[in-house]
Amino acid sequence: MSLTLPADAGEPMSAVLTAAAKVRVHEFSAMTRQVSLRNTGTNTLWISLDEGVSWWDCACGTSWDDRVRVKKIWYCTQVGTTEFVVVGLAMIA
Amino acid sequence: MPFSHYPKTVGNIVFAWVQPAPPNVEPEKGRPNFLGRPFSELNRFDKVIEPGGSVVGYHDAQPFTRFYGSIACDQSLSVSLTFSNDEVAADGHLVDDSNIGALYYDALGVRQLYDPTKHEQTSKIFSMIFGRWIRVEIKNVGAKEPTFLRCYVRGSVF
Repeated sequence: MSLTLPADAGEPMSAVLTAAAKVRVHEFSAMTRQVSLRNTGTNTLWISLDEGVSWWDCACGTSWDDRVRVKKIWYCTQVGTTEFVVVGLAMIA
Repeated sequence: MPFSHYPKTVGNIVFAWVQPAPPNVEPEKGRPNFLGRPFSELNRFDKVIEPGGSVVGYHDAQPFTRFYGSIACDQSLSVSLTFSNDEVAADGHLVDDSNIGALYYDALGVRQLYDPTKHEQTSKIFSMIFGRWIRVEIKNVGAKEPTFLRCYVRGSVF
């Protein structure tokens, strides 16, 4: 690993996903320290970090990010489908 | 200078009916798949619309403020955009993919009577948003089955 990286740099774990009415789960290859996503589709995206206990929405054309330490995210739509890109940052070992 | 602070969608197709359906072609290796998925997943074309027959599609209208699109066909069509403001279905259930077609679409945004002999005058669609959900209907009011039909409806975010 390059020594020029700042101490809090992370390795990106990115994916392009499609959400539908049925709840799906995306598992990162490692625990995250931050998750960013952008809803690039045409429907509202609903996201959960606690296996569907609590949800919030991300309107199409908008982004969400937060410093969260998770291995999985759960996602769905109310109607139709929507595409989104997600990037999880893993701590550098 | 684009107003880059406005939210924008990469894709904004609310309804697409393309006959004949173009084949799916894998994106070039090493390049992004700009569409995000095969076009066949966006294209609602199933089978040719018989004379007197119609097809209907539904979508969430809330993400958009206006709807626009185009029509091309060799038969006369009636294309309508209607809107529902129901938050729940008549039985009280939340709206989902299984009951979105059973809502009351009370607000007619636009009914476009497409005439293939007056393509330039009748090939455009535009409507403001009048409800929470949008319903797009294409009715074949011509005498024959169309040999081609292209109808796109897109949502504008601002």
